[in-house]
Amino acid sequence: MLSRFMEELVNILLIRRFRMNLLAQKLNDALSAEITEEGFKLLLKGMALFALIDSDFRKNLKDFNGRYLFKTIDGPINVAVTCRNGKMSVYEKTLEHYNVRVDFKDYKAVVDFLTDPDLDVLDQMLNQKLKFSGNLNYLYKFGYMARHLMVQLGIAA
Amino acid sequence: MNESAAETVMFKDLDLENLPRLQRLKDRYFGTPKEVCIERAHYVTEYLRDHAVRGDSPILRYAKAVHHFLKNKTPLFLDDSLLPGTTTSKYFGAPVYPELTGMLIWPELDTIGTRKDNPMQLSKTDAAALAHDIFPYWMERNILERARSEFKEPSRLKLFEKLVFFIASKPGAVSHTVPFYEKMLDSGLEGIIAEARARQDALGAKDSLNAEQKDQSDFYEAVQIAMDGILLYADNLSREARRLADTEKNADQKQNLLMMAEICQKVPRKPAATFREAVTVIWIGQIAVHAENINMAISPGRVDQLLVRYYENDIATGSLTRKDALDLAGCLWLKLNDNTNLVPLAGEKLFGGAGSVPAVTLGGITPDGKDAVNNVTWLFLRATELLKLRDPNVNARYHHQVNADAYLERVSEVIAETKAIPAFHNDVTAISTLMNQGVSEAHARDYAIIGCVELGCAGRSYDAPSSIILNLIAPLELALYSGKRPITQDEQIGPVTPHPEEMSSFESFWEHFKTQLAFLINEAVELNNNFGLIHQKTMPSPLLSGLFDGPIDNGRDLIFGGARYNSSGATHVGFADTVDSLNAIEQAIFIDKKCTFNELLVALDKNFAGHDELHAYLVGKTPKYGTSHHVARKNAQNLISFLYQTYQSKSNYRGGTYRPAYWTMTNHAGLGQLAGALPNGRKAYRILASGITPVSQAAADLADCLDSVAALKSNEIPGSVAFNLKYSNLTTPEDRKSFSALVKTFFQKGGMQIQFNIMDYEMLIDAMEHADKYQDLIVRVSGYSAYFGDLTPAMKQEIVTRTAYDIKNKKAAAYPSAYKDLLPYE
Repeated sequence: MLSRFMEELVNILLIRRFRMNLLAQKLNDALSAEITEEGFKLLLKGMALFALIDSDFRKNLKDFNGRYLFKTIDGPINVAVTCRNGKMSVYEKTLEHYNVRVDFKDYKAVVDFLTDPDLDVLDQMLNQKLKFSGNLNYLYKFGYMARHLMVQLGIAA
Repeated sequence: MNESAAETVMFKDLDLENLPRLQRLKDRYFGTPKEVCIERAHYVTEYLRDHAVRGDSPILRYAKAVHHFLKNKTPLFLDDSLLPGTTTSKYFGAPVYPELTGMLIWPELDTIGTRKDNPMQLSKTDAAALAHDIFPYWMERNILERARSEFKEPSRLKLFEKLVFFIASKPGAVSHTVPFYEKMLDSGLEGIIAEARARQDALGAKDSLNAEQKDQSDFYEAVQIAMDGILLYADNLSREARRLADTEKNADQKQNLLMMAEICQKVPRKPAATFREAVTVIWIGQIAVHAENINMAISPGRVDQLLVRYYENDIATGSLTRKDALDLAGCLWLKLNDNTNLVPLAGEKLFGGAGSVPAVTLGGITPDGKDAVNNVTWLFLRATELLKLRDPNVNARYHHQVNADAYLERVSEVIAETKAIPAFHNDVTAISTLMNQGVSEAHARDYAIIGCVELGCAGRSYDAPSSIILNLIAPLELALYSGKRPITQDEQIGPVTPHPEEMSSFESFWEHFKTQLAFLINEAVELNNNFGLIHQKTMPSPLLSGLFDGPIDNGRDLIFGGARYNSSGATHVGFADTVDSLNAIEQAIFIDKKCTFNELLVALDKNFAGHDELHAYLVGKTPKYGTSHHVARKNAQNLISFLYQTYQSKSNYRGGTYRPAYWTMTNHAGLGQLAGALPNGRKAYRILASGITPVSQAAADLADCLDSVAALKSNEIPGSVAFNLKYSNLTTPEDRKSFSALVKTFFQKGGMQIQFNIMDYEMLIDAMEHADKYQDLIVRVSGYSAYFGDLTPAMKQEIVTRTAYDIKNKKAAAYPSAYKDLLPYE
């Protein structure tokens, strides 16, 4: 009985590991490629997926209602993220009502925000790489979630 | 007094070999990594979220939250210090204040332990508690968010959030103060509680009071609750010390623990009677104030004046030896180092290397004008000399008409030994400046330094001196680019002033510069007042108010203007570069007609590439602040006067005025990295000069440099200055005599403050390149002291390039040509 339970547990862990590896690979590709909106959306969807497979990460969404709007000043990113009822959803649309709206200077600023351990939100504000309106604490929380995902996937230090 | 007797009086016969406890504690302090401490955040959040009483006023709610924390705060004895307790639950802790600035580290919770600059350990459990338990409660409640939502995201808040115009650091500024520890020493907390209770009783039953009286009643009740929290913590310390003593094998430490148990049973509940009790009261007072207020510059004040009567009495009765006193003094110095700021990554650029900067003040004169230097002054100077610590920020007041030369020379000697501390403050100008602000003579004479260099009337004035940090390069660029800055590109920030090419005189440019500067000051002041109103609504300071002179008499919390004197402070970054740029514009465009404004703007845009001749002229031929040139002196004073008049015309939310100051911590390095090329020839993204100090290598003659800084009208600088001076070395007795004499002359001419680094270029370059060899090298930054190795590369470069003077010939020492590329204009 115990050995069967252990076998199932190993299977679950392996599948989780497999899915995480797959996600890490996709994110790495997205972040290193010269794509913009697709890569960013993939990353956000990766976070949503990660919430499904990682119970620790899911704690970030528990009892949390948040509406985010991400844009790039120079171009194509225009993505909304909502967190509600423990789930995270990603949309290609503009939200009228959001907790925080972030306008990144360009796609590089997005990638740096998510992956560079030597840059934080304030640093990007200091260097005028992003503007925001709304509640900055929501951005801090999102920054933590994104950085946490990257650390878990081995993409950021 | 013969030399041997003088050495004994000054405790020079005692050193760390006689005081193994201090050596041990110092070694442990330097060998302990910083850790994030969530204990306070946990208990304060827990109370407010789960236990707060519906219907309580904000002041009662906050007092009860602080009480809940103090009641549950772990009583720790982590070493064999003679003083009980710790500021945080860690040996060297960075506490989290989520209601103020703590949320800034949320994105870094997984990486703060491994970040490049100033890493701090944080366990996974504590990180998870912050992420999932503590921070979520504050998402809609911390002071920045409350200000944003209540004032509908005002434009001035957006301007602040760009961080390159001004920083409104209200949350930290609330802590920049000196409590009235006399009261705690003389009355004990029971006395303070009894006074507050009597005042509350005199008002009558709550249901019979009008709104104003009810606020007063709540205030008095809140003071009692907060003070009771301190008593519970002291009781817990006493119990824990006794418990540990029961199992302690080492006889000395057992005795030490029993002594601390006995002391904590008595103080701070009752008045202190002995030197050790009095030192313990100050230390527990520091811990307690941090339970309520963020650990930014909560300053013990004039410790030599507070403690001398206990010292002299104990020495006279034979219950204290000089050695024991120095052991205790050293323990206090080390305890004041037990916590540090929790700083996010970007903050490291702006405030890097800082501890929590508790300032202590020594020497000077007494409230009745007599020489205040006493045996405890010598005691703490010796502790400073032996331990060579970043904190406390030791400040020596010097009154050139009253204090003896022996004191001046002893402070100079300690500076030479430590290479950086203490800083000198001129009593004559400080007292006159405070009196000009409406402070009584006796209170002005009793001033103490807050945080870096700021002037406060110990326990009587609530000065919030770092409320605003304004970047002077911003209005300069706004004037050059018609209300825009290169870093914020096409965004119209300030008023649309004419293109400079349309200006026919320097006076016209100066007027437009003032327009932009006045705009930024107004925005910063309004935002600070907004933050103040939010502070009043959400987080008053009943604990600190109970340890102040004024609030109990006035029936008002400090944050509502309860102190005897009220003000807010604004300090300025880039003073010397701005003055030199104004000089360069006046000289190059309007006097020498060397170039037009358009030609200058093109050269700035190109960072002088292809404009070598103009660049060489701007660097070498235009007037420099720090020299005797009349244009430089005029522009420096005009800028000081304009800032003084503008700030003094503004009122803060507590009914006080704004006081300008000139100290920059490490902001001048951080903000310099974000500013384009300047008319004085400084290249883009290079460091700016610190505090009130002339630009590196701009002032070759020491006497001219000292004269030009001393000539600035001190009454127009009520927030004080940080004037950094570097000497290559002070090797001989004659060098030190000369050093002391220069300080005296500088003060006689009106200089306000001066701080030193005694180190030559070669040593600093070696420290920059071989950090491991210089782990405990302390340097004066611009205000506080820091360990050189903790500074950012830009800040290290700034300290390296500061002009070093040769004390013998009073001229700038030759700067090493191999490192010229570090200079701001290269």
